Amino acid sequence: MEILRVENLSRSFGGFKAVDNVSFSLKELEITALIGPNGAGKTTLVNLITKKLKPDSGRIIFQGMDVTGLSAHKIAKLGIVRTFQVLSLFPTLTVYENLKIPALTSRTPDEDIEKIMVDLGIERFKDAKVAKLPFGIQKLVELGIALALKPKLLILDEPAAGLAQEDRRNLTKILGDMGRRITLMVIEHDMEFVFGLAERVMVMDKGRIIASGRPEEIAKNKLVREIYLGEE
Amino acid sequence: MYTIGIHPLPKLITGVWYVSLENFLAQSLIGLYKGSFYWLLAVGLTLIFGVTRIINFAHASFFVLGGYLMFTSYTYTGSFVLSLVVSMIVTGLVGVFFEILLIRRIYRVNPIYQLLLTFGIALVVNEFQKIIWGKFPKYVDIPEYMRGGIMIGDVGISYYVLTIIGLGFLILILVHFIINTSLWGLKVRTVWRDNVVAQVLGINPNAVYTSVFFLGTALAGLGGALMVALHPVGPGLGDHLIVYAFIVVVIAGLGNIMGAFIVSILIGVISSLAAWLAPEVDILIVYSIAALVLLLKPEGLFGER
Amino acid sequence: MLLRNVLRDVNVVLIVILAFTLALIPLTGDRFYIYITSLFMVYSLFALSYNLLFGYAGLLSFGHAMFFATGAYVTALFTLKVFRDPLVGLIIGVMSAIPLALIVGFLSLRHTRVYFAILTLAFGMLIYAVLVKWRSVTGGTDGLVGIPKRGVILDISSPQAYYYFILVFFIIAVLSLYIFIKSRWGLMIRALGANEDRLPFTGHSVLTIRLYTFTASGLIAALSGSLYSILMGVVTPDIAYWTFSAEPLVMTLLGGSTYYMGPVLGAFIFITLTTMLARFAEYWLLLLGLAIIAVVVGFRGGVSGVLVLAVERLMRSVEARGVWRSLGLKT
Repeated sequence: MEILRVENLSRSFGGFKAVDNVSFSLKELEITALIGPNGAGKTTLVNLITKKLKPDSGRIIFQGMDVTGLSAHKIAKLGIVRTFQVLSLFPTLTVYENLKIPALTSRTPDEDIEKIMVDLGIERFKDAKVAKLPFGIQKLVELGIALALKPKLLILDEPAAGLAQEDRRNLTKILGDMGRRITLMVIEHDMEFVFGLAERVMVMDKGRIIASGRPEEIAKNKLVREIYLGEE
Repeated sequence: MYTIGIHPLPKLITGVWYVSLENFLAQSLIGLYKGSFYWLLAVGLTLIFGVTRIINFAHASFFVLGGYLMFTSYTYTGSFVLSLVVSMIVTGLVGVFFEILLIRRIYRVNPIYQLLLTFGIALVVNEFQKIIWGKFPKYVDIPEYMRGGIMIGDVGISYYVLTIIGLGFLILILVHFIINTSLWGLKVRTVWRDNVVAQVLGINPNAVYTSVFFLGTALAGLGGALMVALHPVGPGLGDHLIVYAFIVVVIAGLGNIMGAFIVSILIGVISSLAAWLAPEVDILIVYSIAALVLLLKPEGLFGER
Repeated sequence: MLLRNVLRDVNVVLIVILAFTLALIPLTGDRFYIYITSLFMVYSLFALSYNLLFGYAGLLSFGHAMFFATGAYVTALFTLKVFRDPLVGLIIGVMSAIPLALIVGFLSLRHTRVYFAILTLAFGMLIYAVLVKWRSVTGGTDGLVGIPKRGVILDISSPQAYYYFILVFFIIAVLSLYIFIKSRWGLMIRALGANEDRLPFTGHSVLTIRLYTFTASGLIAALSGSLYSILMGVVTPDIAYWTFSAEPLVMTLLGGSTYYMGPVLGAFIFITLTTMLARFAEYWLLLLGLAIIAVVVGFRGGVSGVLVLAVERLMRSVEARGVWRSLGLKT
């Protein structure tokens, strides 16, 4: 079942084509990884889908509904949720309050917020002001905010960046569990992370999707290897 | 006598069917000179904002400072032109003083606090003006060689006023010329475009910021210095003028020099004509235009963001 | 459960203490103190309403006087021309904030915060222009006089009477605003001030939150304006001039924008300095400018920030911790 379909999405900045006529679709409950070199347009693509940026052209269809014209907050309300690579938390508020804000949108009761905090292992920081917490915990709060929205499609922008090995493995486990209930799309650079988690991999370069398929296929793909390993 | 007909609606406001072309021309000229003052006020604000991204709340205070300095130097030197130059330069230097001392510290700070800081500076400058020059308004007389004027319709337009209109255009051309052709102008445009890229290219942004602050503030000072012969400067004038500066900015949009010029002139002319034909609502017409622009084109007529 | 939390809240304790202290003032019988404390309450409300916008939502406004003036003039006009009673006039005056907030808010709140600040200055001055030009209704620069304290329903002519009238509304407003801030709407407002950019991605509309913040803020400001007009008996257009909008800003910065009661402290300092120290009044704008500069460049917390830091240091000492816990208080 298709949960998201993107058709001919494009966005330029001045003369620079950040996203160039991208089309793809995501299957429900499938974990997709979006990889590609820096500057390929991965984050821009996510920004376009979640309406942080307006596309120059193209369509976005979510659960059969054309959502291209909708504003960011309406998209989030519908269930397309994303996290930010550069953390964007509410610094002066507590962890609980950070999660309560999205919970108000999704009408998630307090007990469920507690459960999210427990599942992420951050519930002992419940009343601490987020700005004062260590980076690893902040990353989990960022994830918690997304979860509190009860997303149908969750897009994670480099969730493992900056985390130590142990935290990464922990995160992989959390995401794996999540993937059984939520459709996930993960932008990542850590290949071990990607191949351990993803059921499908999409590769972007220079604003275009150049390859898409199962992780094993992608690992063998000539074009992809060229880009990553510089093979002739 | 030539007459031009005006659509019946104004009759409700003005009670007049026709106005003479000459009077219309005269009032338009008055509008032009008022617009020139708005322009001198707005150009510095726009320049400073474009380059430093700071909205200088104290800008009108510097305009007024130029007027006070003009009063003092003209009274002591008796030379009008010299006093103009002195006022202009000293005002620019005062602006630089504040830029180096305070504003430099807040370039990366939350823009709300930037606005607050410049507001604080405005208060300080205004109060120092009161301390130095006292509470009573100061004015100067138009120099001998400038006295007199021409009659257009029922209105006397002095040579001084005509000169100001000319100066307004001249400043526009000069600023445009400097920004677009000189090396310094190139640096300014680069920093305006992109601060970070400019640094990568080896341009020292602080030098650009300070020099732009000097130019912008000096132009404001020039405006004030020119105004003193027509309108006394006193406490409260800065508070009054900052509103006009901001209205021009709201309608023109921030960051476009040409746009600021056009809108300044337009506002000057429209408010003059309104003050002549419909004095009850003249200010409201200007505000209505601002509101209309806000509704239809929120970034301003010529705005960039 | 909520009640227990409320009772343990330091701010509520402060409000209660303040309320008791204020209630005792008329017993001194000194007309001047009664008057000046009334003014203090009016300004406190004005500053509190301002801080909702500034400290909590992060919206700097130079046009807040428009609500104060509208509340004041509408109350004045209503009691003078329509129905002679301060209570009814007050209610109408407060209500007038709603259409004003919605119209001005709709036009100004869709912009960046800096642009919004400029716009509020322009709109505030528009109100001023209307008040000055519309002589037939507003009395122009002379304003309106003879605003009655003796009305059909309520007679609050005596100092004690008008004082308690103001005090009642003061307490109701201060408490209501606090409960509002602690509510889920208050959380959204604080979220706005904390990270406006993230908010849409949590499913909330920034414009909607700004609008109801602006309206709530306007209502309290209009209340303070209405109380002002009844207290003074006279209104003039200068309460709409943008420099008057700067006063609650100053009170907020001085007292501190981070803590709820900060603006009240700021109002207290402000009134004390401007009325008690006449010599000071000569140069107070200068000191004000310097104070603002100091706050921006140096310490953002204001006086309450300093106080809280001192109290926190006190609380950190071991003996003090025991004392606080035994009182059952949390901050």
